[in-house]
Amino acid sequence: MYIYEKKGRYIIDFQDIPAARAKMPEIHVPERQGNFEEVETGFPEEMAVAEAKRCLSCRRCLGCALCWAECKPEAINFDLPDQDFDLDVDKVILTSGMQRKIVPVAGNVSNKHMNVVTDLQVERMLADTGPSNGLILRPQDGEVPKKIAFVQTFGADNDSVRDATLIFGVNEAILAQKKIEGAEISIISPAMDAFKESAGGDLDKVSGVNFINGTVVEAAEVGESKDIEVKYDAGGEKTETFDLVVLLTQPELPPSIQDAAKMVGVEVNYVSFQGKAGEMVETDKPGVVLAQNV
Amino acid sequence: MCTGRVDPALVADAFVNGADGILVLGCYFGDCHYITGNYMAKTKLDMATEMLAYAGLNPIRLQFRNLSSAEGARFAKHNTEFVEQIKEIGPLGTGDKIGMPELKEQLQIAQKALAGPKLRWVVGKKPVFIDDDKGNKYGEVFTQHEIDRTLSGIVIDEMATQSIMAALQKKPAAVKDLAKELEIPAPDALKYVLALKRRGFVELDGVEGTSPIYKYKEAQS
Amino acid sequence: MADKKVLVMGGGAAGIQAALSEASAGNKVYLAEHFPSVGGERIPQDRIIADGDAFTVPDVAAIKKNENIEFLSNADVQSLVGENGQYKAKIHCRTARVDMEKCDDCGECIKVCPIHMYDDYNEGIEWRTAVDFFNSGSGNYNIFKEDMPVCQRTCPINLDIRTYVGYIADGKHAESLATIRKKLPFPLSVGRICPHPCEEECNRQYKDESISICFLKRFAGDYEINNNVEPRIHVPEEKYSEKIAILGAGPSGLTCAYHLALFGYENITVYEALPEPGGMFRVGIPEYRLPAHILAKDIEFITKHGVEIKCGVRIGQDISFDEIKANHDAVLIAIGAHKGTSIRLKNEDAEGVFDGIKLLKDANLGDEFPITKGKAIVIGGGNVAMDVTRTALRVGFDEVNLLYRRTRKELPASPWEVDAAEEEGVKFNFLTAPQEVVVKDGKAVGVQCLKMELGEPDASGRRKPMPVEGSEFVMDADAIFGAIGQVTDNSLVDEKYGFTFGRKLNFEVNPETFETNVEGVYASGDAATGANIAVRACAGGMKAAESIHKYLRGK
Repeated sequence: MYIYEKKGRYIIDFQDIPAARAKMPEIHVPERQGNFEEVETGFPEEMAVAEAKRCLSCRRCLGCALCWAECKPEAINFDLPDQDFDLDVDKVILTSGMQRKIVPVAGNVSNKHMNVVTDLQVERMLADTGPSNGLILRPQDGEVPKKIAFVQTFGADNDSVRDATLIFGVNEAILAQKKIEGAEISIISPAMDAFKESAGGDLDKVSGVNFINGTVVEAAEVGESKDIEVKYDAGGEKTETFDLVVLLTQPELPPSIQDAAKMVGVEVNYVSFQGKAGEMVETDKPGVVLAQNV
Repeated sequence: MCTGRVDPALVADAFVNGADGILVLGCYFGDCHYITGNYMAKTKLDMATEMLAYAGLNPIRLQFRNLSSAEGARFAKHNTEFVEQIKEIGPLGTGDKIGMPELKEQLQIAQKALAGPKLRWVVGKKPVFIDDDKGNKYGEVFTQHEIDRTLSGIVIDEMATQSIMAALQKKPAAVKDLAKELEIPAPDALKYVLALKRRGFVELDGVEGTSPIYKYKEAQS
Repeated sequence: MADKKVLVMGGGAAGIQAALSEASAGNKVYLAEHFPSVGGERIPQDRIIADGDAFTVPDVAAIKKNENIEFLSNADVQSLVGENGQYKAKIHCRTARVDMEKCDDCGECIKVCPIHMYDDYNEGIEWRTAVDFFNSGSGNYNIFKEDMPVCQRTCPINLDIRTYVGYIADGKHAESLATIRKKLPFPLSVGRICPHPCEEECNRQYKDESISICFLKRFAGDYEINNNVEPRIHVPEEKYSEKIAILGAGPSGLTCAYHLALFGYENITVYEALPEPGGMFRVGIPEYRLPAHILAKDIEFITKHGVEIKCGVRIGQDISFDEIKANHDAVLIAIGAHKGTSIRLKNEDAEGVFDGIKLLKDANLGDEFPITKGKAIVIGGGNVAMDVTRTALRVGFDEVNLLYRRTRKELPASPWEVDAAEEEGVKFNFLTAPQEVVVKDGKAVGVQCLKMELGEPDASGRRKPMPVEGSEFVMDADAIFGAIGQVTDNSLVDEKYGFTFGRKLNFEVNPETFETNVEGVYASGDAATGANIAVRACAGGMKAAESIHKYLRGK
């Protein structure tokens, strides 16, 4: 179970990209009738070699040890072994981790639109120690977006997960609003009305953010700048173009915590961690405690 | 002296200084006094050729041929042939992918990449990586194809990285302008700039309108 | 002095806070985190931020300084058991390959690393290098080395695809084939018929199209035959004399036999009920996809390693399972899943209703089939259903209709198989649910069907098919084939052994070792997993061989 394997991650733009994949030669349909001749006839050698050459030979660490050669304090050690610990403990504290489920917006097949990002990515960008000096950037061209839509694409499993998701989005919107001069920010969610009700007065203090109770029907890239045209239904269909679209993701328990809970015999889900911030909640098992999200 | 000592950065330097062609003549394979010097030369020059061709040079301008020190007539023949070929394509900047002065600029960037540690180190590791009994630090043995892919990947990465650094050394710039100027896809340019920032080579200079401006960061110490 | 020991799982803001508070209470804390590093500032999701602190910034430095806290990075909890405040945890920490006691956070390594890769901590906004600090300021350097490329990881038998494809690119076809055969003895067969899940994961698809991995495997195999190259036979140095019985000469059984032979076992007997070896390769995959003479080459390669195959021996009929068990030191049950699942329609027992698997078997073995002309209906949507339709056309049926209650998009069959069936003239009837077999004079003459339509999308966005009222109609047929799945015929073993069976009547096994609950008896392939793809059966056979070897050597 490695965290590192994610789709669409870095692939070098080799000079032989794009190149079509070899097509398997076949005998024609009329020649197949009434017999059991093999349909596919196999790659000729030339074709096979050319196809094999398309392979990118994916590899992360090369094992070249250049870092080892450059490390003055000699800290790098390729032979450092994995470690196993057998612990006897009196208490086990579980936390909720930070895994989130992405539900892509319709039209953004395989999350291919450059200017559609997730709320987690925006969180990293907003952080001062993050990759972008606390600036929100458009992945397409590194520009700061003015018009941003936060979009919820799914119906949450339950109310408290829905609220956690939207509060996360609202907080990001507040920060973005502060950072970007003249920002126009909308949050579109099919559960907005219900959320407003449960959030009560807190939401009224937020100014300059456009809250929309609506369902996004489709998102498409437009023009050279790859802005995102969002079609949504909010009591009538509307189309608006945004510089950046932020997908709100749903928090869920990572497999590591789920497995641990199962092994020790307590039943937990994400909601189990959504109590008062920082509080320790006891479980059925004495000594197994859930640290609430902070 | 052994052809194994012909450094790719030296070769690039010669082209930067206007050489129209470089012919490297080394011993026959198997006849090396140092056992593998000429194999090493071939490996290094293959990589230099790939790098310089990627930068825009016509690869005919850089050749490696085998010759023993006792073959005077063959030496003359190789030279005449090579000179003929170079004459046919003309001086540097004609018959190449790009003309002067852009070619010179590109060659300078390629020279920097070739002089840097990454390519030098990995090329040096190649014979170990493809050796069935050795392989890399993890004991993985590479096929020829894999090592070629790896090296061209580094060539492409280094060309982009070095050209961004060179451009930012001249003047601070926004990602979209760098992308346009250097003909790198803008999303990639952004990642290269951020990766350079992560490594401490580049820093944010300020924001103009909607454009964050990045500048080259002088090395400390 | 620490009076209690506490394990905190998760190095996020909540985990760090919990660890610090436990440590300040004088307890010894183990902070286990799946990622290489703790912390990072987070935006809260439990309160709307008005002014002031936007980020929750965990005190990472305090964790490092605190002597009562031991930070376990790259940690996976392998077991966690106990009761009443007494818990035992086994934790495995993957190596960071950087000695944090020596590292001075100078950052020279990341300046020289030649590799750019996806930066997990920052969700891919920028690139990290292979050696890298995980989140800035943490100082927790690590070298990330993937265990294998995605294609290899996806492959059930973990073939070293990167290497064998690389060898073909280098023109070293024999080396390529040898690489494949280190694990898989069926390059010719699997290279023809595998639905290649590896290609679904190939990274190149994000730029243009996946590599044609499966057909390259076939090429490596074909090259040997076409150039009359004598295959290399590995002769093991050590020899073992234990007797091993393998029941079923299919993909799984023969792969297991092959690996046992590679380990050095000299007395391996494979019992096959059918007159010819190959299992589903021989009787389940039509000739036009995998010719028998090609399969024979793979099997010949296996038998050359010293594996004996006895065909036409049905366990429980020709020899009892008791006798097999008594005369062998270990037994592998790899009898596959050859019994078609009932189509569960009224009149399904009528004359003219067949198990699709029987048509495939008879066609492959050259046996006469009762009906081979007129109209055929095939019920099902998987790859077996596609094989049945295309075989039905070839044996002589004039019209073949496939019934499927959902749409083309939901068809479980591989899209290229569907396209080929359509090209050859199979008629696809989507959104058509069979209701009952129509019978006249005791013979099936058609299927009564109901048209379906897609309903409103549900919460997950999927649209469920709903029946259209009054849309019943009868589709005529001379023969009706069911192809909706297969189960294992487990009648060969006696109840007294106490084997347990799964939903597909498959033998239940330990998923790692393929051991059944009876000592010395193993099961793999479809007989253990339920009907599945061939390469997964081979993978099971390989793992079973490793377990049998371990078991016999440990005895």
